[in-house]
Amino acid sequence: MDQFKTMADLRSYVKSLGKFCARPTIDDEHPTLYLDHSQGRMLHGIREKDYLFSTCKKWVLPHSQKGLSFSAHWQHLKDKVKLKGRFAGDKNVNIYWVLEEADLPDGLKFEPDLRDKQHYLLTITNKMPVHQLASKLTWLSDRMTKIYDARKLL
Amino acid sequence: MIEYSHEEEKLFLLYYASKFDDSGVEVILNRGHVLGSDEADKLSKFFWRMVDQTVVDISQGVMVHGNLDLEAIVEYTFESIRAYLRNNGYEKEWDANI
Repeated sequence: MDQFKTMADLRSYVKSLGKFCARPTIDDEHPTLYLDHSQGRMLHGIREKDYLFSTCKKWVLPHSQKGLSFSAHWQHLKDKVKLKGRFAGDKNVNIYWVLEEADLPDGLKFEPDLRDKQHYLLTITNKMPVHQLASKLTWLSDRMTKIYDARKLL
Repeated sequence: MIEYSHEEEKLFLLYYASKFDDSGVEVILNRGHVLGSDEADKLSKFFWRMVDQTVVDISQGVMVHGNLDLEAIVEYTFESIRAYLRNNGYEKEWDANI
């Protein structure tokens, strides 16, 4: 876990990472899964609207513009932290990040949002069972680095 | 044009524009683009006002067009509105209202 005293410290650190993908996350939330039911229909902790599912909902289908949302630029990350902060109340907003070129589980790939190169989607490249995608997202979350309480730095 | 990743986003935005009785924003959303800096600023202000309203609505269990996952839809609209404004030269108007 990394802690910083000022926004300048955080910005310098983030910029030193090279190409990164980060997710601001409210305290008690999982970095890559949704473990409560306030985010709409979920399948094994995956938000149904984030991925393309088969009609039977047992499979996730590849789509280059469907996937878990990640910030890939300091400015996007800053804006997203502010957005998450509105929903956080008194809770902390933490940042979980991973290098873009980090080893990802087979079948996962970061793709830029075609509308915004500062925004990336963690897509899948081949059809897989929903529980398998959930396992891969859990694997990834275990390898992400946490920056604690980013909101106070902004 | 504002490009949405989920079809319910536009209806969601229009719901809040109507709730705020903001006909100017309704016109922008139905047109699909802004006509200049003033409208970009108006759209950006509306977005963040909507975010604050959804925080209240979530606490009260408000359903919007059958959806209770208001935070998720706000996140999708954040990407759509942000990308549109920044890609079309309205970065300043977006940043000024965060």
